[in-house]
Amino acid sequence: MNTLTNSPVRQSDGRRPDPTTLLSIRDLTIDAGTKDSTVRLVDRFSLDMSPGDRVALVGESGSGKSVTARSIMRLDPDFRLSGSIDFQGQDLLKLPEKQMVAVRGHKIGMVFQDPMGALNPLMTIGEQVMEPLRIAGVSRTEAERRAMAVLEELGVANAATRMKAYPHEFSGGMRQRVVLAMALISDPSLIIADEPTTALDVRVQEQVLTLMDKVSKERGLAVLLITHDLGTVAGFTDRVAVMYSGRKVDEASVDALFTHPAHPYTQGLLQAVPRIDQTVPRLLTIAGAPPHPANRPTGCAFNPRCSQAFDLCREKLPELRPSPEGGVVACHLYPVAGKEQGS
Amino acid sequence: MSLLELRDVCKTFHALGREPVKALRDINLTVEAGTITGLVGESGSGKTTIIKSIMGLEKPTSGTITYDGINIPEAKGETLKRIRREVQFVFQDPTSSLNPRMTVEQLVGEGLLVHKLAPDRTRRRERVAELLTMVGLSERDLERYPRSFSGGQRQRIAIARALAVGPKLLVCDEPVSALDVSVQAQVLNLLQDMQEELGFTVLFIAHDLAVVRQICSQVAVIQTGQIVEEGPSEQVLASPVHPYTKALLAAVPNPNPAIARQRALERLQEEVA
Repeated sequence: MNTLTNSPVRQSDGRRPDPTTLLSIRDLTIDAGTKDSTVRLVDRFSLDMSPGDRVALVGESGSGKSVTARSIMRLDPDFRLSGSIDFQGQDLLKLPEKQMVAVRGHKIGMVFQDPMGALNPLMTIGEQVMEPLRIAGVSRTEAERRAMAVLEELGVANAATRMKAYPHEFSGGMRQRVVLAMALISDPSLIIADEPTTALDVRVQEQVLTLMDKVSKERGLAVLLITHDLGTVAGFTDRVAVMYSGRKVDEASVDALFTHPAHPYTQGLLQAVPRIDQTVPRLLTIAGAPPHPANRPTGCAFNPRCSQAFDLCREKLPELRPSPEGGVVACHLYPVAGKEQGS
Repeated sequence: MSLLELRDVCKTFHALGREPVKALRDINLTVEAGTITGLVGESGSGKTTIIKSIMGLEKPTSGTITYDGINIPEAKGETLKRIRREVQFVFQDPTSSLNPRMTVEQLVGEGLLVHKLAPDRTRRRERVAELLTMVGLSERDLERYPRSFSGGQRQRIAIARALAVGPKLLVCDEPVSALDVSVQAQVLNLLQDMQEELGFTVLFIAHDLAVVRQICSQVAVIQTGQIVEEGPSEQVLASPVHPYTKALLAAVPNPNPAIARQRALERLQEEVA
């Protein structure tokens, strides 16, 4: 290990002394419910992102991927969060709500699945795109200028006129551009996109992804893409983290994950997706359904659905360990590491 | 032999003070008996208008929709009843298509009751239990309500409900697009198995071309109210002729990172050019 004396290290937990870390989530645990009955939605989730990093968080409904994304922004005050979310040297979980407002929508932008639900039907497009700036105290003329610029950057033609329009006058793809513009206007360093293309037609979906691809590359913007669709992930991201029943079970570079998926769940997911370039007599499925968060099986949460499960899987929760392809995996099929990879 | 035929079907919607919308323009579509035929299109292409017309909920402005030789918009009385029994539907979102206040037994048994297909309650119950087993649920689920099931299980209930009355034609409107990947494969396999076992005909409406390729033998592609390409799905999806079909296919995300990245790069260059 080299000396760190000259590097502008903000903070490090000692495990990963990376001076360029933008976001570092450590053991994020999310509980919901009353004092009497608590449901653990997310269990000790960790993830690191460098500036400009594009990471996908993949999982099925109920896996905890959206809850994780929303909790980075602390959007649900009813959830009890523990662990740490280190963003640009600040632990977001310890930040007073007032300062959190300065992060939300300014340093971190968010794009939600349903653009119609994310837009106020009674406000013009322009007002909504400008809103984050106006809240931050930017003058109206300046806000208008920047709103127009960002809309044009996202390929909205006649931005000046379109700013006076209302959401219902826009198509689905255009609305998603507006939502993206709202997220980008404050020049954030991270965008969290929660299923940004799921509600869109294939061609529009591709347009929006291409746009996000372009913008993130040009701006050096980090993107955390939350999705259930492995197909959209392949071309867009560098790294993929797979969540199952509240835990990260697999993380690898996009190439490693698609060519040599480590976790049996990831393997199953990849096989279950119908492919346009090949047909099989029958799709391979993962039997059963994910467990309810209040009723997870003992041991590995995936064990009742896993074809490779053995005794240990039913007894002991597998911790994350290095996978053969250079990522991490939470599965007893792989040996636990000696050093470096803790917890 | 064709089971369902749309001949020169046009549908124009009129709205006060606006240009009339030509939702369907000379649609010709044949669904051969015993096949799974896919109908592919984006939102606004007219898929829903076609389904509504098959259900008899929309009357075409011109043209005919015949099921087994009967013109659906003109069907009345016993004939209409027969169509209502023999043509069944499975919708996209089982959460909204199943009445939350009915038990599984009532939901699946409703058709049997309406069409007087089971003489008494005990028989009906037996038949419903049988159907549930067929779609991978069990007799124990009879008393349960839709809310206590997962999305995939709800779609199984919807399929059991549709199959209860022994349909000859099953119209599936995006039946798996609201489901998770691992569950989607289960439901697709179930549909395929049921079709092979019972030999009914399926009109499968979808936007996911990979799903269509997996399950359909025939496919028709619809764009703004017109069928632009049709044929065996292997042929249409492997070597499309119409530019729209090509564009749709090109937009399907490829789950191979190297290919997907290459394509993303091409897209970016197109943008710049």
